[in-house]
Amino acid sequence: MAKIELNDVSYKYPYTKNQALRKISYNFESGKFYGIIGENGGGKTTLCNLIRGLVPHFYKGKLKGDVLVDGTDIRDWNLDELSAQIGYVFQNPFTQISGIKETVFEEVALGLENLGVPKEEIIEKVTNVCKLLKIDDLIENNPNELSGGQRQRVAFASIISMETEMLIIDEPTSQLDPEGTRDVFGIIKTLKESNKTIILVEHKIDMIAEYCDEILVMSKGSIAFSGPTHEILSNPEIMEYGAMMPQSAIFGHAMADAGKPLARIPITLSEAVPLVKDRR
Amino acid sequence: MDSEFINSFRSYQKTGNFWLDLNPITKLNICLAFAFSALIMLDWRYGIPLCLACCVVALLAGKFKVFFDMYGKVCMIVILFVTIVRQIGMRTGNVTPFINIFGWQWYLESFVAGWDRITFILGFSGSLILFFATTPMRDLMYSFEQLGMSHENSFIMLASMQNIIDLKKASVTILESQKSRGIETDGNILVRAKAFFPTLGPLLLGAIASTEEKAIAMDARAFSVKRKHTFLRELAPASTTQKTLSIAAWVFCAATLVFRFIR
Ligand SMILES: Nc1ncnc2c1ncn2[C@@H]1O[C@H](COP(=O)(O)OP(=O)(O)OP(=O)(O)O)[C@@H](O)[C@H]1O
Ligand SMILES: [Mg+2]
Repeated sequence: MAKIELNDVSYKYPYTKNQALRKISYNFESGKFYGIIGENGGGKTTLCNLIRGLVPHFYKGKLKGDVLVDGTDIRDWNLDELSAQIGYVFQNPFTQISGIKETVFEEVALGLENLGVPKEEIIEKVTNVCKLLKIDDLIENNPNELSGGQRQRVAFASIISMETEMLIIDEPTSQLDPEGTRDVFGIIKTLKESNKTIILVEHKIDMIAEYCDEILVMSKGSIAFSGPTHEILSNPEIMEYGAMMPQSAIFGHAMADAGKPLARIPITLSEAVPLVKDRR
Repeated sequence: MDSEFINSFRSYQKTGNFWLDLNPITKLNICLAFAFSALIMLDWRYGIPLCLACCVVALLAGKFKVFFDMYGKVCMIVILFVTIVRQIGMRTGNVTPFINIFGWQWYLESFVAGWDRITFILGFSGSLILFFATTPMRDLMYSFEQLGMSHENSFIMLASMQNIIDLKKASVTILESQKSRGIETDGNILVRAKAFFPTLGPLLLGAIASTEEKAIAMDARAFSVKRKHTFLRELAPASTTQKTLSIAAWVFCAATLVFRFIR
């Protein structure tokens, strides 16, 4: 059984004319790492909201089709129970701070308090997560007075500390520098290795190319392309749908156009280097 | 990583100050009992010492600035208001002229007559302000939750407090941006009001939007899951000594009532 099953799903936000999701069918398997890319306003965040149950429980609007989480229709799920099973890191880190905690350490601990985790365990987990996200020098700071990048790290830490078996992560690195981005992807990779199901929305295509198992390209509320990472990201057609191709793939196509094709189109640097070497 | 800070969560929160470390409920009991005693006594000979006592406790607790920021203003307003009201009601009879402000004659008797009332209000408000100045809201909410209040209510209280801070910040931002667009924001009351009122719309919308965002943010932290919450930050429950203190405060309050009636 698929972890998440979408069957001909369409959705319209309340008081809007256009459908934010159109006739989407897709199965998300347990333990896999999915990357969602595509143009602004393409429906990526809305899809995340749907899988997490915010659509239709929080955002009312008009939902058609079947959405099954662990085989149970999303409409029959209790939103509160879903929140304990699916972690959700929002696109906007400024809205993910609770506003009721006075230190970053307590902010990160909040989810665990709500889950009723014993105190000693909370202290241990939060300490580890803070080290992992390199916010250990911020733990005594006020979470309401952080920079964008710091908030993004705190928001990310707050969700992964809850150790849910599935994670939805919407553009976790929008406020981060290249080093911070690398850190976050490193962490997502370790999470994946511990067999969690991960859905990641991200524009940094080279990162997506390196880590994801499958890719969905979203455009105007529909899934324009979907499939294994290599197949999708080496396809130049995705650029017509507002998605980027990795640098290495662009290079590969340019070589082919120049009449000097590589054995195949690479999507990461580490894949490209041996291919170029072989050509000589 | 600062392990001293992390370790502080392993035991009950302590500051080392006797008054601050009292359980919020104990503190609330003591402050309320004294506030009501001021109301019962209605006598400046009781009100003034009580006001002074509040100041001293605030000073000893190291919170005098927070306390007096609020209390000082309350004192000024109450003294002025009560005196003026008394002044208006004191036009006839055997009176001693005191001061003449632009033809408005003030009498000495009105100051004396207002005195009991002023000191009772100040004793009453002093006790309450002392409580709020020396008790963080989150500690009070924690104690209420221990007594069975729902964590939803506690969240609403705490989030509202943060909302007020955020709104203040937002209104400053909006005013600044208006200023940079050439709209006058400094000057007399009228100019300020003119600049301020148009900011209310966006502020209100912002507040509504942020409430929705907060609800989702809390949902992401499994806030409403039907499980017993744990607390990372814990306060010591009221000891027997503290419970005795609370009872003593209320016995004292009852004693003032008896005293008042037999006098
Ligand atoms: N809360 C909302 N209410 C009404 N309409 C919305 C809401 N959120 C998004 N939409 C609309 O739904 C469509 C899809 O938006 P969505 O946020 O899912 O796009 P996205 O792919 O996440 O874009 P981005 O890359 O900018 O994050 C857009 O047309 C948007 O205007
Ligand atoms: Mg989005």
